[in-house]
Amino acid sequence: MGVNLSPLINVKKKINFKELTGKRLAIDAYNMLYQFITIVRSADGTPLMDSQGRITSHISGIFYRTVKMLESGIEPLYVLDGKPPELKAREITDRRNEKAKAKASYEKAKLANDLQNMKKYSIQATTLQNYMIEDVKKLLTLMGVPWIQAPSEGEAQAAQMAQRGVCWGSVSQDYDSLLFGSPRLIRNLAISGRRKVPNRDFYVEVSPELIQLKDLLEDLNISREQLVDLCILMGTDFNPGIEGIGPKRALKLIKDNGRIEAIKGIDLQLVDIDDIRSIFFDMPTARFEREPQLLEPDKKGLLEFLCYERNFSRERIEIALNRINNKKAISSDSLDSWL
Amino acid sequence: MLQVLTTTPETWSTIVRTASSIIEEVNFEFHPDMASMRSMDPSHIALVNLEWVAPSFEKYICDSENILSIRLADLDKIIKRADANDKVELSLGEERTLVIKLFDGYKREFSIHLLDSQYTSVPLPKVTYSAKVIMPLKSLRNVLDDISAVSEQVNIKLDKSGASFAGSSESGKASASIAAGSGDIKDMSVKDAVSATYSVEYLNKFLKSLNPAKEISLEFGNKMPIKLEVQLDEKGSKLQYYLAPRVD
Repeated sequence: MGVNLSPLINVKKKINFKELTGKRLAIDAYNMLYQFITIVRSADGTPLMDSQGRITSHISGIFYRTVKMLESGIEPLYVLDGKPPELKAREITDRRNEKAKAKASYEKAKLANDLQNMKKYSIQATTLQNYMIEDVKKLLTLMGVPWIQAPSEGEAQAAQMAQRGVCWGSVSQDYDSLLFGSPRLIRNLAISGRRKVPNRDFYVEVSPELIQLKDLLEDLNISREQLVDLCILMGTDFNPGIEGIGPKRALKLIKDNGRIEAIKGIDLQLVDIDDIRSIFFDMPTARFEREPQLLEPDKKGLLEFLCYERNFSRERIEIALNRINNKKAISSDSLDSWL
Repeated sequence: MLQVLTTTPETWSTIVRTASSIIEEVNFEFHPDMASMRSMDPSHIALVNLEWVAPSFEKYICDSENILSIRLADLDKIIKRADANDKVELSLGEERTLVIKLFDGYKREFSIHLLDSQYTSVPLPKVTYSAKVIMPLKSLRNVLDDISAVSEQVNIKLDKSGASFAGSSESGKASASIAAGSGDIKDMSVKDAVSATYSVEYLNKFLKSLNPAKEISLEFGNKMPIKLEVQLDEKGSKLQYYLAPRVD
């Protein structure tokens, strides 16, 4: 879920696929996966499935979106989450309870044959399953697209790689990437295009947006440490926050007092502030043994996996595969051909 | 043992600004006879290569190979604190830190944490150049400013008569030419006439960080990466910048 910073963000810029050409982007894979398993669905909320009833929405989403990126000369680098920090346990339990509630509501809607609510609740009840992660690893490997397993939070890993210059920025819907120190956050990369507004009958045009950490901090006139403190007041995935403190008030409190400890009359209820700070500043991350790079896709392996095992249309997959040429994506506008 | 001293912060400042325009962390290598640094931006569009020989330093003591992985922003903040006449001394401190002393004015000492070195050697592009021109940096920057008034990329042509620069976009066209033998070309050698296109933004990333009083050499070939080079002093230390051509 992440922290909702959007009311404080005045510095986002629209950015199109073409402007991202030649750039390597670290993608928060779980975040993108979750978007696809909630979006790629039929009218009553049933996800895509193969002939054995296994969900394939995530495969379809990641496949076509990755093709689109490669076609635009973007070099995706997927980052998978590892073990969540212990402080996230409360958030995870809360989410699990909400899913269970949504599941019950879905069954009720189904009995009443209420299509709209069936879709709404089936989306809310969606959870990421282990087999989906395994599917994505297999898919990416066959596509020749690099991925890395983070020891803990994927966003921390992506942010760290962007800081070190391994990639240009982080792709996620969550603003947490900025708290983890990513210099650039790109949102809406997975869902750009015409999108239906949830539970409403109209469409909006969604385009990717870029938020630079430096711009955000300059605009708010605070440091990254203060941004993290501000979010701790509002509540993060790792602490519940303080009742009644929203983004605007949190910003004022931090600006007036400098840091949480200096604010009078604030009770963070047994939460160790330094423990949460250290999640955002000292999260363990992994390193590539060698520079990650795009490889030629294994077209035969992809056809076998997607069409034979998972019942995707052979014709459509072949057309998509013809659109990608990883060699070309790598050499255009880069020094690689001369190294 | 590592202890290196420069009489002014100028070279440090040039290097840090140039490299940080394309990357955030670098490995400085200190060898017994020279210091070097080679880094590419994440998209592999540009490469910075530094060769800083021992005689360029006021004092250079390095008895073994040292590779220091540094976040440029950290170093930049400290170098910025130096006055133009301050001496700058770098040495290794305890617990993997780099100690930076500024003195001659009042004495100051800073230390920054080194990063866990993830050392991968970056190769230099293998390019055979068929043309070279040396220009005052100021002239090159002027010409690029002309072209960038309408275009994000610049086509550079070099033949025996001189250099020409051109760019176009939906909004219009711009061109500029400099004749061989004019004050804006200090020297040139052209085996064959060459033409290639580069991103103005990426050229400027390098040029904007340099002292405009310097001269810069440009070497390139048809649709090849360009190599820009400035001499840091008269002792043979130099800073190079390779930039991939635009292919569209």
